[in-house]
Amino acid sequence: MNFNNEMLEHMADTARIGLSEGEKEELLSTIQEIISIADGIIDADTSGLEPMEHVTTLKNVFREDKVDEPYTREIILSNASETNEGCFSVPKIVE
Amino acid sequence: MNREKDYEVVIGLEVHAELATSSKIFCSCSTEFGGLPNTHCCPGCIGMPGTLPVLNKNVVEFAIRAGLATNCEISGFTKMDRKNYFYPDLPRAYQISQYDIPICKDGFIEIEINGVKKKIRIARIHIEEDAGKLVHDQWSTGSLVDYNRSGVPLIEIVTYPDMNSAEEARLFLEGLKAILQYTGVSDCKMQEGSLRADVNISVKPKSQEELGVRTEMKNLNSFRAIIRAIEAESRRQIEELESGGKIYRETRRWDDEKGVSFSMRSKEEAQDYRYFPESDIPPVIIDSEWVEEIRKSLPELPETRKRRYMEEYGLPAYDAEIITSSKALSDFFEETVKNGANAKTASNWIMGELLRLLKEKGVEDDSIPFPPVHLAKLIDIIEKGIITGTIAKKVFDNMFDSGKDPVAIVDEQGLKVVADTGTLLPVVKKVIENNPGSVADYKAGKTKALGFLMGQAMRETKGKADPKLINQLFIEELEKL
Repeated sequence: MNFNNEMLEHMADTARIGLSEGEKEELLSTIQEIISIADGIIDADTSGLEPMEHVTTLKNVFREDKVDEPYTREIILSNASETNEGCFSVPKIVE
Repeated sequence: MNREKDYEVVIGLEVHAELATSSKIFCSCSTEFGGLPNTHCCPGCIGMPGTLPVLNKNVVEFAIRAGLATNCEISGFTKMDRKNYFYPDLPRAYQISQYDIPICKDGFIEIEINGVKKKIRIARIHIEEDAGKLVHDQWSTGSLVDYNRSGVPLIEIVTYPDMNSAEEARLFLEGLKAILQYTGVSDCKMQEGSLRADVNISVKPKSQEELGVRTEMKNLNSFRAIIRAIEAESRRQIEELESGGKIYRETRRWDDEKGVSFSMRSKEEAQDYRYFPESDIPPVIIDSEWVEEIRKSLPELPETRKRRYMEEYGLPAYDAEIITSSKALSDFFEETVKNGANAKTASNWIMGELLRLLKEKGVEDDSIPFPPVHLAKLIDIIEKGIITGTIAKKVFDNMFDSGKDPVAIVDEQGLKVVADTGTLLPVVKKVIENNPGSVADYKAGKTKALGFLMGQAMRETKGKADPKLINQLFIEELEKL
């Protein structure tokens, strides 16, 4: 796959990361290298193998539908940089 | 010129229903509605790093129930996926949902429009988590987030664009709501947001084969809003096309107060959700035994109940339809009949007085303020001739307001029928004396006049006179004249 500057900018944009020109240059070559390594997978012989949907062999790991004691609001909000009226306060969202 | 009839409206729905589990989809927090902000939360549902989501088994079972009740195929293998986007109500910056292998697919619900049955196909049903609630405080510089709803389990039901009018969409939603309530999958309380819909809508000239460009309206949370939004949006699109304009694929926000929709964002710069498998949750394998076990546990569905009411109780199709469209109403009816009431009489009371009062007083049908046994008792004392039909309506109103036993109401207020000649004969004589005109009419062969005279006697006795006896007394007295 040919990974180009446009794709890099789209990636940075969707991840909301600002990149300097220098960073772009560096990342472009790094990611191109990673992709070329990953491209090797295409050459692997997978005939006769079931497609893999998940990395573990676990399945059907469930919890029962039971309610536990709730955390106090103080604990829930304790990592918030800003709170207001019992809520997390975030930069204003304008729709 | 606006030629709405030359156009076909095409509607598809994405319905979100909150599942009736006790705990959230991936953690043990309560799903209860309300509560102070951020009091039904744990590190998991507020997106703290290092927490591990574990799927609630009931969520899977409820989704299978919904799928079976809507004629879907249940996937033998299914998995969760991450849908990535940034919004403060989504604390992990991804929603755990399902992408390419939904738990149920290819179902349908049948609706009946103008006596014709029509299948509305369901493309898929998948499970996902709800987001938190963003409070836009216009006086402060920030927005506030409450994560109580974050992680509440939802199913999303996606239809094919098979509906062609607001009425068809309404019938589909009514049908779906009844099915979800009957199967116990969701309480579908729209005022609490447990059922909400995104509406996809396009219009095309009837002669045109291919579909028009569609717009989407999100998070409509009442049937009324959905109907109005569909009507207004199809009209807008037709007018736009008629005046030579173009429809753009976009998301629009419906303002129910103003009755208009506004463009929100263009779908052309469509969001890239970068779906990928949720690595923290192993896949779910659903074997046919599990499916059959759930199928066996399914209760009687609205359509079956409706047919049974018609066959077993002889209810008219219309009555059976209305009563079974709500599980609460239907259960109320069944209990009333179980308590000995005649089915047709019980249905008449429910269709008439009960629905009228619920509507008038704005009471939800799952909160009927008296038990079914009271209606059964009321019907019993009418049939036994203890009270008259006129009085019964008053007792019913009182029952609705006070929740009291009808027998107690009758006793307390002395409403029993008056059926002794000693009391009624003087009343009859008085009415005859005071209404010579009607008496003359009656004697002249106008038997209708008797009805008027009886009405007068009923008024005199405040509706308590035994109609049969009073009728007989009038005829006897008038004969003597």
